[in-house]
Amino acid sequence: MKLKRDDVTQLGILAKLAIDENTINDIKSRLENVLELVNQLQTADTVNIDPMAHPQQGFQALREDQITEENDQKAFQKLSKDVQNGLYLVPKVIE
Amino acid sequence: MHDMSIASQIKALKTREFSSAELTQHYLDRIKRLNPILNALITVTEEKALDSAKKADRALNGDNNNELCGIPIVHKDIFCTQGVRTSCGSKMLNDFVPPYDATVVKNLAEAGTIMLGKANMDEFAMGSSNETSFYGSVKNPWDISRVPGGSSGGSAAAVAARMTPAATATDTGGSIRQPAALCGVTGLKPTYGLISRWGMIAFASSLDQGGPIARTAEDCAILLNAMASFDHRDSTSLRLPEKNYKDGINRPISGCKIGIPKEYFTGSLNPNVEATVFDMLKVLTDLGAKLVDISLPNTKLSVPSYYVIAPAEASANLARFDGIRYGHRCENPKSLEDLYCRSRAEGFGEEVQRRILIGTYCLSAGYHDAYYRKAQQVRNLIKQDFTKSFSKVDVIVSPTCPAPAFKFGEKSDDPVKMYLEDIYTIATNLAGLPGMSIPCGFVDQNPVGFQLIGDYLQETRILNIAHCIQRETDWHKLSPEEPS
Amino acid sequence: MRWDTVIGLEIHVQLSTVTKIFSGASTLFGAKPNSQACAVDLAMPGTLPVLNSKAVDHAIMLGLAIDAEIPSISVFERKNYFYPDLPKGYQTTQLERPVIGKGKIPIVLEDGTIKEIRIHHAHLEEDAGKSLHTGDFDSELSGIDLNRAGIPLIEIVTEPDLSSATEAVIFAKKLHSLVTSLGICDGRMAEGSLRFDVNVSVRPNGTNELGTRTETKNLNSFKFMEEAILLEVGRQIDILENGGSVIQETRLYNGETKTGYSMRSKEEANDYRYFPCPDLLPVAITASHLKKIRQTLPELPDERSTRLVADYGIGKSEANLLAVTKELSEYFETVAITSKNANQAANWTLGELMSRLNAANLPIIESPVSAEELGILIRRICDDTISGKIAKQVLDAIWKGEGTTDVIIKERDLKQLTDTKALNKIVTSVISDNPKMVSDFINADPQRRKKKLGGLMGQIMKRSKGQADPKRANDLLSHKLHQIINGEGN
Repeated sequence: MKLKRDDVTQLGILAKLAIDENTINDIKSRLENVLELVNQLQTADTVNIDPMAHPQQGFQALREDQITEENDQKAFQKLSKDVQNGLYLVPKVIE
Repeated sequence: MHDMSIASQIKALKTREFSSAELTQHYLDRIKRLNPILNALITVTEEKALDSAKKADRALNGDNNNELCGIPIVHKDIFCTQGVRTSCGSKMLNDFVPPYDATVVKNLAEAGTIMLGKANMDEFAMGSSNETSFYGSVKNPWDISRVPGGSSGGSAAAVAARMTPAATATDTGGSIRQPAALCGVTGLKPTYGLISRWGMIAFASSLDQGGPIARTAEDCAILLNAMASFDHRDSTSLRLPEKNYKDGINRPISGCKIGIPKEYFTGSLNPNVEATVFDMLKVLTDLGAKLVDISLPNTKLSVPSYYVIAPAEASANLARFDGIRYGHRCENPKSLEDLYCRSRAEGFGEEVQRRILIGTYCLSAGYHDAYYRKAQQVRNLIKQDFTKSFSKVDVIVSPTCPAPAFKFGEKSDDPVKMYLEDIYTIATNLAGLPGMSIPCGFVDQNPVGFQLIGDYLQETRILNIAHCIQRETDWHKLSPEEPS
Repeated sequence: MRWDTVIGLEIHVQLSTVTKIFSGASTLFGAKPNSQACAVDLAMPGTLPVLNSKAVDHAIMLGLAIDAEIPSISVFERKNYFYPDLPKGYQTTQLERPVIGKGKIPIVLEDGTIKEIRIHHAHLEEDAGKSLHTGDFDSELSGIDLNRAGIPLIEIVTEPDLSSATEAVIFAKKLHSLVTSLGICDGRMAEGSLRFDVNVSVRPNGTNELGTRTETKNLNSFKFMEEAILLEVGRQIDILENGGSVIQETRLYNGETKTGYSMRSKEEANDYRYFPCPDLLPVAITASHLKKIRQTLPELPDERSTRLVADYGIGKSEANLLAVTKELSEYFETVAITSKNANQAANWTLGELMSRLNAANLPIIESPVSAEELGILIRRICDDTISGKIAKQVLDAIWKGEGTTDVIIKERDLKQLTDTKALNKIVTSVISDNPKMVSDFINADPQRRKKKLGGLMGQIMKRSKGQADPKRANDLLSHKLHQIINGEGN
C-alpha cells in the first residue's frame, strides 16, 4: 500500500496533528509498513459475515432521567490553562 | 515480607504478625531503592500511603471484613486517581490531576488497599515494550537491559521486583499478559465488561479491560473480587450476581479438556519458549487434564484486524486532547488550528501519533469499508473460531509471547515487528474473552509466560487451572536478584 | 422563466429532559457558563456516556405521533470533527440505524387542502456547546460555554416535499405544535429549543430533476426561516437566470441585517469518519415498551381539533387554531363550558384575548384573565347584561386586575339599559334634539334609511354612556321613526 505525501498531510489535517515537512517521508514509510500488515485482511473470505463492532452481544442499559452530577466547575476549570469568567478561551473561532 | 503472596500477607495482617504501616513502609523503602533503577513508578504517593495504612491498621483492629484491608497496591497510571497526577505515560497529561477516581481505584480503596503510587506505562497504553512512555522506559527486573513488556510494564516490573504485592493494569491487546509473561508474574485480563472502565483512560473502548497483576493466581482471584463490579457509569459493565472468584480454585482439574491451538505453535515461536510451554502441558496431563488439538484458523488475521480497530477507536478517543480544557497546550497559539495541531503534536509521542494517523486513515472516506468494515468482519470470524473451540474444550492454552523479553531498541524502529509481539494475546481482546499469563519457566534467565484463555465469564475456570499449576510448580515464586 | 422551489427541512428539537442525553448533569436553561458541564460533558479522560432512557422515550413518542417506522434496534455512532464546542472531538449521533424511520406529517395549506410531508427519518444526538465571540475577553479570542453540550436533540429530516416558504412555515408551526403537545420539547424558539436547517433548490417550472441545493443552518424563528428561504430562492433564481450555477454549500442567515452568507470555513475537509460508538451498545426498543409508550401518548393537535369540532360544534378552522397547543384548547374548553356558548368562546379566545396576549407577548398559561372569568364575561353578553362593546371594556379592566366581571359591571354601573320606559325616554329626546338627522332619515330613499339610522343610534348610545341595549334601542327608534313617517301622532 503506497501513500502519497499529500495523503499524510491530509491525515494530519483531519487528525489535527502538526506534521513537520522533514518527517513526512519517515511517517509515510512507517504508515505504509503498517498498512501492508493490515492489508492481510484482504485475504479473508468475509462474504455474508456481519461486522462485529463490540465483544458484547446484548443491548445498552439505560439510565433514569435524574440529576446525579453536582457543579464541580471550579475543580474542572483548574485543569485548564485559559479560563476567564467561567469560559474556556480559545483563539477566535471563525464562522 | 515482600516475598509473601497477598494471601499470606492477609493472614499475617489479621494475626498482627505485622501492621499495614510496617508492610507499607517496607514496600516504600524498596521503591525508594529500586525505582531509580527500574523506573517502574511515575509517581510515589508515600504520604497518602502511610496515612491510609494507619487507617487500615485501625480498621484491622476493629471489625473489618475487607479481605484486602491494609494490602499495598500500585495503580497503572491509566486509572484516574483523585488528587494524584494521572499521566497515562504522556506529556499530554503531565500535569493532569483528576478530580475523580476511576471505579477500579475506588473499589480497591473501599476494600482497604493502600495505594503506593502510579505505575509507568507505554504512552496511552500504546506499546509492547514500555519504550513509548514520556517518563522513560521501565527496566525488566530480570535483566535491566531488556524491556519489561507493555503497556503495563511498570505494573508487571513493580510486582516482579517486589516493590508492591499487586498492581492494577489494563489489557487492550495483551497489555496485562505480555508484560506479566516477560517479568515472570501472574496477570489476568477478565472478560470484557467485568471490570468498570469508568476513569480508565480509553485507548480502544471495545477492547480495553482492566485487571490485576500479582504473584499468584490466587492473589489475582482475591484482587478480582474487589475490582469487579457492576458500574452504572459504564453502560458496558456487566450486571452479574455476587461471586467469589476464589471459590473453586482448588477444584481438581482431572478430566479437564485443554485445547492446544495448532496455529499458536508455528512460525515465529521461539523453540525454547515452545519447550517450556510443553513442560507445562506435561504438568497439566500429570494433574489429569486431557489435551485436545484445536484450530483457530483466523488467528493469523488477529494482528491485522486489531491494528485497524484499535487505532480507529483510538483516533476518536484521543480527539478530546485538544489543549482546551485540560492537558498540554502549546505556547502562543496563532489560531485555533494552530492550537489544535501544535498542542497535539507536542503532547503526543511518535507511536501515539502514528496510531491516530492509521486510525484516521482506516475510517476515512473511501477506505472505511476496505479496512474498518473488513476488520470488523474478520473480528467476527475470530470470535466464531473461539465459539467453535469452546464447544469442545474448557480452556485454551498457548505461549503468552513468541519469545522472552527483548533488548531495548531491538524493535522500536519497526512498528510492525513490535506489533507482532502480541500475536498470541490480541485475539482474546477482539473476542472479549478472559485470558491469563502465568510464569512457566525461563529461557536464558528470562521468564516465559504460559497463557490460559477461557470462555466468556469463565474466570473461575482459568484461575482454577492456573492455581493448580502453581501448586505443582515454583516458577511464580522465583524472584529476580535485586539490581543495584 | 418560471421556477419551482423545492425545500427540505432538518429540524433540531431539544428534548425537555431534566438531564443530558449521556450524563446526569442538569439541562436547565440560563445557568452560569460551564456550571452545568459535568465530567462527561467536558469529555474528561476516562469518562463514559450512559444513555438517558427519557430521551429514547421521547423519540418513540415522536415516532408514534408521526406514524413512523420504529425499528427494534438503533445504533449510536461517532461523527468525528474538531470544534471547540465539541469537547470529545466527535459528536455522538446516529447515522445508519436511526431510532425513528420513515413517517409523515400532514399540514393544512392556506387554501384548506391537506398535504402530507414525508419524514425521511429522525435520530437522537447530543447538542454541542456554544462559542461566544464577544464578551469580557480579548477580541482575538472566543469563549466556550459547554452547558449546552450533551443536551438531547432529535433531528427530524424531511423529504424535499415543501414547495414554498409559506408551506415550510406551516410545516414548522405544525411540528412545533406537535412536539410541544407531546411534551417532548418546551418549544421556546428564542432559547434555541427548535432550530431549523433549510435545504433549498429551484428548478424550471414543471421539470422533475432537482437543482443544486444549499443548506441554510440554524434558523431559530419562523420569521427568519421564511425570510431566509425567500432570500435564498431569489438568490438562486438570479444566479441561474444570469447563466450561473448554484454551488452546493452551507449558508447562514442574519436576521438583523436580512442577509445570507456562505459558511465556507465549515466546508473544508468534512470527512466525518463515522463508526459505531464502542462505548454504547445498540439500543433495543421492545414491542411491549412501544405499547407502554403508546398508552401514555397525550392527545395530538389533529385529534384535538377533530374532538373540538365534534364536542363543541365550532368551525374546523377555529378548531385547528385552538388545537395548536394543549394549553390553548384547554383554556377554550373552560371558556366554552363556563359561558355555555362555544362559538362566542372560540371568537373571544382567538380574537380579543389572543390579540391582548400577543401584544403583551404572554403565553396562554400566563393570561391575566382566567378562562372562567372570560366564560362569565361571555355569559353576561349572552344574557344581555352588557353589550359586546362594553364587554371589551370589562375585559380590559379584568386584564388590569381591577376586579371580576360582575363586580366591575356593578361598581361601574355598566349594566345594559333594557327598561323600555327609560329607553323610550332617551329615544324620544334624541329624536327631538336632532331634527336634521330625523328629516334626513324620513326623506331618504327607503333602501338607504338603514344607514341614516346609524347616526341616531350613535346619539342614543352616547347619551346612554354605551349602556343602552342596542337591539332594543334600535327597535324602539325605528318604530318611532316609522310612526312619524306614517303620521301616527307624535
